[in-house]
Amino acid sequence: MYAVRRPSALVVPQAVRAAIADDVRTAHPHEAGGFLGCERRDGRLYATSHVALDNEAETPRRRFVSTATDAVPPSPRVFYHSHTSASTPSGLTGVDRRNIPDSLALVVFAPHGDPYSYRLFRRALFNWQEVPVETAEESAAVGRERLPRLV
Amino acid sequence: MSVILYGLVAMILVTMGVGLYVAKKIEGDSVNYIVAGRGLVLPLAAATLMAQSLDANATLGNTDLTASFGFWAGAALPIGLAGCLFLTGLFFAKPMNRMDLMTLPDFYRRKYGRVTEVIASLIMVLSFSLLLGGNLVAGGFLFQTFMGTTFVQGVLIISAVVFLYTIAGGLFAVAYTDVIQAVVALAGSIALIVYVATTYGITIPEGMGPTAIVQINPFDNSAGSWINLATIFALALGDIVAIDFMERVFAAESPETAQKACFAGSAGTLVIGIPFSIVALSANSILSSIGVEAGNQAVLYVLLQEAVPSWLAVLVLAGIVAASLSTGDGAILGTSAALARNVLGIRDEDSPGEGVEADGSGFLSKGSDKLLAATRVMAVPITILGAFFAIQVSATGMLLVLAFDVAFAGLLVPLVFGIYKPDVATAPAALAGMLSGSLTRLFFFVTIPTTYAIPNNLLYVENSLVPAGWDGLVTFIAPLVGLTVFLTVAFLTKDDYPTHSVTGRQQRAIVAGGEEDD
Repeated sequence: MYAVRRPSALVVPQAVRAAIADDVRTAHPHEAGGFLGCERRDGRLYATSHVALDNEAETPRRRFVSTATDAVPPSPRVFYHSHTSASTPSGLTGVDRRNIPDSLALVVFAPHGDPYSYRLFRRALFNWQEVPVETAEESAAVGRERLPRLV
Repeated sequence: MSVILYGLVAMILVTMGVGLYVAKKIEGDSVNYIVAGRGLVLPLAAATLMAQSLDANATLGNTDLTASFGFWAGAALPIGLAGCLFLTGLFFAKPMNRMDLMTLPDFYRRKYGRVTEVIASLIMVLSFSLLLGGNLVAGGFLFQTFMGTTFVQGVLIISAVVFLYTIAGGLFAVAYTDVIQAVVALAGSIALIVYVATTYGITIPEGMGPTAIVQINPFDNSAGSWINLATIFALALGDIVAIDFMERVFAAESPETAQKACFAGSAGTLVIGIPFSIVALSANSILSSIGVEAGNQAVLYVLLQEAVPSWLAVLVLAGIVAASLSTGDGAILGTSAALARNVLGIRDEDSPGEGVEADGSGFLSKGSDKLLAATRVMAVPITILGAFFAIQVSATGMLLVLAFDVAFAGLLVPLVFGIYKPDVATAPAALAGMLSGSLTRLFFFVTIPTTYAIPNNLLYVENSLVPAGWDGLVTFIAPLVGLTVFLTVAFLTKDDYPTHSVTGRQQRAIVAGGEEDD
């Protein structure tokens, strides 16, 4: 569990966003998850790599369980996982808050397989706080825009 | 006097020589420097734990307190320290060694996060800077009394000696020199009690000896039992969170070695420390039988000057110097590593043991990784701070016990629950427990006129809120406040914070879920 300095936003370039979407779509209706390796620039985190993990849960439609491997990128990094049912929330559940070991958690809400909402949460000292998620072109330097966020 | 001078100089030169010689084992790697490559075999690990636990307090302070207030007042120091090593061996050595940590604050980081790590580190750094200062004070007085230097010169000489071999050889130098120091201290302690017993006989004044249980009867404070018990428990429980002890636990070659070393170190601490208490009981009758008064001087120093042959005085004094050096080196190493790694955050997540390969640009070695260089640099301000405390702060002894009480009150509960009940130990609970316990102890410091019977001339706020007789008792109250707050906050935050275990070697499990538990 490594805390990072508070980022003002997470920028997910389109290539990384596509990789996440592929992983979520392929796993659907099971929950998908993995890590985004990041770099810190100008107070923002920029996702630079994507590592998908296998879901080892006994009930994969409502749980994501995996084991950290050597492929998990070093800090700063973001753990992401999908919520795949229309009845699930677009943000963190109590299960997430209690069990996600990393301090940055991206919830990808994809009730029909395609990502519908992206919400990033950072575990602060006394609670989880939401952090904006943006996307950008390949260079990730210009043309940033907010990703869809369902509350 | 010249025999004593030559003897002490020889002791210091041998220590320096061994320390500098083993510095070649560092090989530019911070893992070698901070935890001796995690390869200390049992004799080395046991000797370094024993030498680290025995300091000037457990020898000089022990004899002074015993001579003035009775056996349990002085013996409480070695008994408390031995108790700490025993408890550490029983409950903490194995799991802590298995975790592959480099410093104790690493545990707080791994379990509770960065903020808790930094606060724990700062409490530990302050405590151990004062411990260093306290031992430099003892060394300075010893040099002043027996080697003809001024007090300040004595402090500076000891500081320079400890600094040089510690910065060069890290825990390797500390461990190897600790073996010498432990042997000298053991020989000095045994020789002293045998000589005193055979020459003068052991005289125990009425109501002062080990059988005077009133000194530790918690229901009768007339003989200062609360302070004696507080000393024993504060050391036995509070020193479990001592960075220097735990560094040696991490450095042991295996969990089993770490545990056995703690038990052996515990026994050695008693074997060396208790004879000083026994001799001190007889000190006043010995001195009066030869027509000498101790006056304001340390009773042991007077005894060594006036009542024993020079060879024995050299041996015992070398043992006291050894105790100061061995505790001082551990304090410098532990605090500088905690400052560099846990406060400044210098580490490399990618490399095994979180060190990086030597790159040929090392400081005092062929190559040096970032953490190694930073730890060595941090040793400079720590040594200066310790010497400053020794020279400039008149109440080093009182601040020392206060600092360790603060650590006891704040740090022990998160450590114990983090290891044994990780499922209830959340980060906010640890932080709240740590702050409430430590601040409660500080509150009592300023509201009680004495700290362990030492008048508080630094910061006492006159009040009718806290009874003056609570001195000693507050050592137990503050950790209980910390425990209560910890459990309360743990209950309130259990649904919002992960409570993973950090003691296993298994890879970390990641769990998330779109639906709540049924």
